[in-house]
Amino acid sequence: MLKNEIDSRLLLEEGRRIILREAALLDDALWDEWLALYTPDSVFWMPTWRRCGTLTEDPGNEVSHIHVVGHAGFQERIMRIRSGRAAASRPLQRTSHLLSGTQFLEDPRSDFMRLRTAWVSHVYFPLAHVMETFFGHYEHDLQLQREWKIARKKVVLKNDYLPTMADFYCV
Amino acid sequence: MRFPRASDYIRDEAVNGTFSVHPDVFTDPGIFDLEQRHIFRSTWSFLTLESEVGRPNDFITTHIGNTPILVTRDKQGRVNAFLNACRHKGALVCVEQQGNTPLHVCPYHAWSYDAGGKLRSIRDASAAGYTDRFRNLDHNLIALPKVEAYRGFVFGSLSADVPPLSDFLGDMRFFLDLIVDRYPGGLRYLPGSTVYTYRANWKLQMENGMDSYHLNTAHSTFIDVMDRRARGEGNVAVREVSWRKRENLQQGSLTFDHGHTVLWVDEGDTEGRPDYIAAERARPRVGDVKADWMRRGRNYYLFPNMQIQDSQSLMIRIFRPIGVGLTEMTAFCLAPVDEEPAMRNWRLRQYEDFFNPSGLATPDDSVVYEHCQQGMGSVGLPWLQGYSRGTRDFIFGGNALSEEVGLHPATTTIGPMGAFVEVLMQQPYRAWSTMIDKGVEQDLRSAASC
Repeated sequence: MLKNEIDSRLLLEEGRRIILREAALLDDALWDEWLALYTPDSVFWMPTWRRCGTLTEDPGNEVSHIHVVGHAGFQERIMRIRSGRAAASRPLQRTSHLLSGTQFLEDPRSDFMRLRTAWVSHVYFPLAHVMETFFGHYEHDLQLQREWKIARKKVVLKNDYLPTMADFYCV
Repeated sequence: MRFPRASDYIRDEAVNGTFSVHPDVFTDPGIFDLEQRHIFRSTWSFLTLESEVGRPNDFITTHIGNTPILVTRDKQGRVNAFLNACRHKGALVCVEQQGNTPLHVCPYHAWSYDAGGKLRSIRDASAAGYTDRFRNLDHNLIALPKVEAYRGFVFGSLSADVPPLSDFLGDMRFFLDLIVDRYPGGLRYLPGSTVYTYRANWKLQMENGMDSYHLNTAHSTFIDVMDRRARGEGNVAVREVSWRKRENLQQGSLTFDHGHTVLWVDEGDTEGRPDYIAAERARPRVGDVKADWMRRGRNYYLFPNMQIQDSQSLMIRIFRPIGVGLTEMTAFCLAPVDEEPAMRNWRLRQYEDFFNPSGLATPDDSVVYEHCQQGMGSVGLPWLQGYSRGTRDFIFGGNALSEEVGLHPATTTIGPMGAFVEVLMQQPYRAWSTMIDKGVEQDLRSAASC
C-alpha cells in the first residue's frame, strides 16, 4: 500500500471520528463540548431550497434556514435552550443522529479535509408525543489547528417541509 | 330546528367592554368546513407578487384554502390564475412550485395547456372516437372568477360574488403603499421560501400577528439575545432595535371592514433595521407624514390568508389551513430589488433570526399554538378571555393619526405599548362570523328553493 493511501485512510478515519463525536454531543445535549469542536470563526449553514427546486447557494442574497458565523451565534441558541423559557425547547426534543458513508469531497491535505456524510436525525417531541425524521447530507470542512476543528458545516436538509420547528440540534 | 350560527361562537359586547370567542372555533371540524366553504372559497386571497411571474410564461403554484392554484403570466403579459387541475381527470397540471414554460403538460395523459389556460392539445385525439358534442365542450383550465393586483400584490377569488379588490382592500391600500413607495426600484421575494406546519388552528397564527402581549413572555429569550447584542455580546453583526425601551413607546392599532388589521409601534431606533434606514432616505421624496408611518413597526393582517410584518425585516406569510388542527405557513423575505450587499445581508440575518421555523422566535410561537390547541380541546373550557386588553380605551372610528392620512378605520387604539392591546383581534372575528352566517343562509335558501 502506498504511503499516501495510508495517510489518506488515517485522515478519513480521523474525520469520521470527529463527525460522529459531533453527532453524539448533540444527541447528549452537551452543548459546550459540541461548540468546542468548532473554530471561533466557523460557519454553520443550512440553506433553503428555491421554489424552482434547487438549493440556494448565496447566503448573502438568498434565505437560509440557519446561517451562523462564529461561536457567538450558537451561544445565543444554547442560552435559549438552557433558560427553560423558550417554548420551542421546553421540554427539549430528544434526537438520535445516524451517520453513514463519510467520504472526501476533495483530496485531503495534511491540515485540511472536506467531507460529505449522509445523515438521518430522528426527533422526538416529548410534549406532543410526535416523532419526526429529518435527513440529508453534511459537508464538513475540518482544519488542523492544535487538533482538528470544524471550520465549516453545511447541512443539506432534503425534507425541509418543517414540522413546527427544527433547530441546529435537530438536523 | 335552528342551525347553530357562527355568531353564536362570538360574544361581541365590545360596546359594553367585553368580547369573547368560544374555544370550539379552534377545534370543531364542522366549523373548519364552514370556514373553507364560506371564507376561503368566498373571498379574496393573496396569491403572489407580480414580480414572481415577471416574464411571459412564468408560473407559480399556490393554494387558496385547500384548492390548488396555478398563476401564470401569458404571452400578452396578463397575470392569470387557474385551478391547478386538468379538465380530463382532475390531476394537478403543474407539479412544480415555480418556473417558466409556454406549455403545461398534464403528467397523467399529456393534455396540454398554454400560459393563458387554453387547451392546446388532447393527446391521440384523432383516434379517440370523441363525438362532436364532446369536442364542442370547453376544455380550458378553469380560470378563477376574479384575479386582480394592487401595487404588485396579486389576489384571487374562487367566488365571483366579491367586491372589486380595491374595495376589499379599502384603506389597507395606504398600508401596502407604505411598503411599496419606500423602494422606487421595486420589491421581490428573496429566493428560498420556508414552509412549515404547526399542529393547531390557523386562527392562532392570525391572532398572534396582532398580539404584542406575548412578546415579553413567549419571546423573552429573543429579547435577552437582543440585550446581549446591544451590549456587544453574541451575534452582534445582526443588531436590532432595542426591545427593552419599547414599553414606553407609542403603540396603536387600526381595524377595517372585511376584517383587516394593522398594529403599529413607534420605534425609537432609526438605525436598527434596514427598512427604517430606507424610510429616512425616502423622507424627502414621500414627505414627513408618510415617512413617519414607514418608520413605525407595522404588522398587517389581510383577512383571511395573509400577514405582512414590516418590523423584524419585511416578511409575508401565507396561511393554508389543512385541517382544524393543522396549518401550513409559507413565509417569504420581501426585499428591495436594489440593495447594498451589507444591507441585504443584514436583512436576511434579521429575517432568519426572527421568522424562520429554525430561528430564535417563530418556533416559540408555533409551539405555544400547539399548547393552545391541546388546552382548547378541554371539555368544559368556557369562553376565552384573550380579546379584551384595551377595550376601555379603544374607539369605534378613526383618531387624529388616521384622519391626517384620510383613513376610515372601523376601530382604533393609541397609547403606550405597555397596554399591549388585544382589542384589534375582535375585528377579524366580526368578518369571520358575518361571512359564515351569510354563506350558510344563502345555502339554506338555495336548498329550500330546489
